[in-house]
Amino acid sequence: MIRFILVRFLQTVLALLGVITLVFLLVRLSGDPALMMMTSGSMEEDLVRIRQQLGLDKPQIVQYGIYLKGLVTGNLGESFRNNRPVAELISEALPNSLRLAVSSFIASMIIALLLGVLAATKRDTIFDNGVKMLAVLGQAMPDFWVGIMVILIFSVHWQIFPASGTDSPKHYVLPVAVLTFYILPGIMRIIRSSMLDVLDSEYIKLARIKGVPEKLVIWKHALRNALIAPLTTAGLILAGLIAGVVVIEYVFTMPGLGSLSLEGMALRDFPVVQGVVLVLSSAVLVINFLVEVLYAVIDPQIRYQYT
Amino acid sequence: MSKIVLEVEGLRTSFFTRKGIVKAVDGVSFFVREKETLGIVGESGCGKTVTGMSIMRLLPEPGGKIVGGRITLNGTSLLELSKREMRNIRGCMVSMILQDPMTSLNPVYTIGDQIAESVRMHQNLADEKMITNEVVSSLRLLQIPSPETLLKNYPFQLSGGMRQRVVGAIAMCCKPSLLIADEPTTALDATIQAQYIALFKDIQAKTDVAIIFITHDFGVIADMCHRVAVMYAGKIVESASTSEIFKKPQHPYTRALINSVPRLDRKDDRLYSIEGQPPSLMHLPPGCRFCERCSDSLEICSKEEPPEKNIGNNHTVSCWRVQ
Repeated sequence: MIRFILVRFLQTVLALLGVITLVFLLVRLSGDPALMMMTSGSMEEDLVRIRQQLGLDKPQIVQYGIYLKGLVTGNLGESFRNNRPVAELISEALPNSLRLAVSSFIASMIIALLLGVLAATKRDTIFDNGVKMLAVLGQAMPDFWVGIMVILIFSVHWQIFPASGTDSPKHYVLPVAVLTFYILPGIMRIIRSSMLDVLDSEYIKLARIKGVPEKLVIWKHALRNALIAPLTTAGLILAGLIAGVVVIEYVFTMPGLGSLSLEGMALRDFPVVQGVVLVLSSAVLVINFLVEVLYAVIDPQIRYQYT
Repeated sequence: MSKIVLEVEGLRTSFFTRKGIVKAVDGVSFFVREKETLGIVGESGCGKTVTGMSIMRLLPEPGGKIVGGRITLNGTSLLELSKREMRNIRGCMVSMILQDPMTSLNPVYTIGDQIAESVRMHQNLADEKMITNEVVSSLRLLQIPSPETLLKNYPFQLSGGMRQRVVGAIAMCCKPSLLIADEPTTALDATIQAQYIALFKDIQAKTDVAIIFITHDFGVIADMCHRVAVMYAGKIVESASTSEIFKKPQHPYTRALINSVPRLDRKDDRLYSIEGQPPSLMHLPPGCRFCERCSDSLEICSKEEPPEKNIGNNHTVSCWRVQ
């Protein structure tokens, strides 16, 4: 098990190095930011000066060196737009994104687990059909629309929860609820179908033959096997959530990584895009690493591949 | 005569589906004594497995339901027990071995855990050491080499034959008085199959367990069983001691089944097979169920169901031809 974790950890670090390099190259392929900063009255000298200021006149390899050195010291450069350090911009946006992502992730996973498992055990009953309806609704209604609707109902009409901002936990209730409702159906359906597969298996029959109480059959014998498939999806969902849910951020005016990267891209603000992509890809890599470790915890066969 | 462990009388099990009622088991009666092996033989879909699952009271829900009859195990009427009481009997007084050893063990728990779970549930053993001892002795009973190390293994680390022995150990760990083996050797290759059958004869000699051996293979019946019940389309059409069945099969279906077994001492160009398909259990014919496939049916066969006749020696047959 330790060996497995170690191997996976090293792979993660290597992948991260790859990502760092790739981000540097990709951003540089997308055009000259100095040109973007020109106005109609700008002169040729201005262009040269700005390029100099931003360090864009140096050879690529030197730029890469500066970029790597910056990363090690926590310096992600300065935004071309307002000259603020990128690290600062990210540290303002990241907590919002994380709070939003993690709380809606946890909420949706708990609900998906309960509803998915129960729907599978009560297959084709009113309960199961109700859950199915809920899933269809969640998937059919776009999140921005649901967002506006809950603001109309809970902020404007009843005035229970604030419509925008990030000042208190209360501000997070509506966006988290909307996000949860949005991601719930997919993962719930995967858990349900995975659970149905497992409940149909011979070892579940054997557990019942042994006289195992039905509760244990479901939550001990079946669930652990049924979790392997949804785990991958859960990891992807969490990564997606951290990457930013631009629509929700805009609807509820809570600037997070989504808004930050969107603005950065629109203005070709290299350092900002670089920084955001870096944070996001590290998050994805860390999540993948955790998912792999969880796989090994759940499934002994994976664990034993490395002994 | 040793005592009767299980008695099934007029068992009827149906599946209620949207398309209609499937009478999977339709009035089946048999009994098994201590130290005795009863073979239930028949083709796929004849109701063998449903009979076994009915005794365990583990029919697929919703839909599967026992609609009539009595099942008495060691004097207890199983159909009158509450769910909870039945659970205490399952895996303890009666247990079952399933067909496919590759899939009948839970892949994420160790062998030791899976056997210990049964022991813990059904035997009042205070201390973990005693539980482990029980687990090890059940593995020994199944002649599993070095049981202590095997405890910590996961199913994927074992071969099919070894897994089927572990399944046997789970079934035997609480010393049941009845074991239902549902085609336990079908998924094993021929040499392992022979070993497994020898093993069960040995276990029966040691523990006096009564065994119901469900199979479609008359060869296995000859090796393993004392008595045989031949099932066709939800009914037992003939039942007798194994030697009697092989010497004097009365029902045309039994004869056809025995003829279908490939033999080394005969040179056949083609294997014998029974023409046609068994009737749909949803729309059963009014007369004998085998009538359409029978080579020497009478006029009455398609109109009235043949009654069960005892022709002596505990040999019963349901066929109009038999007088």
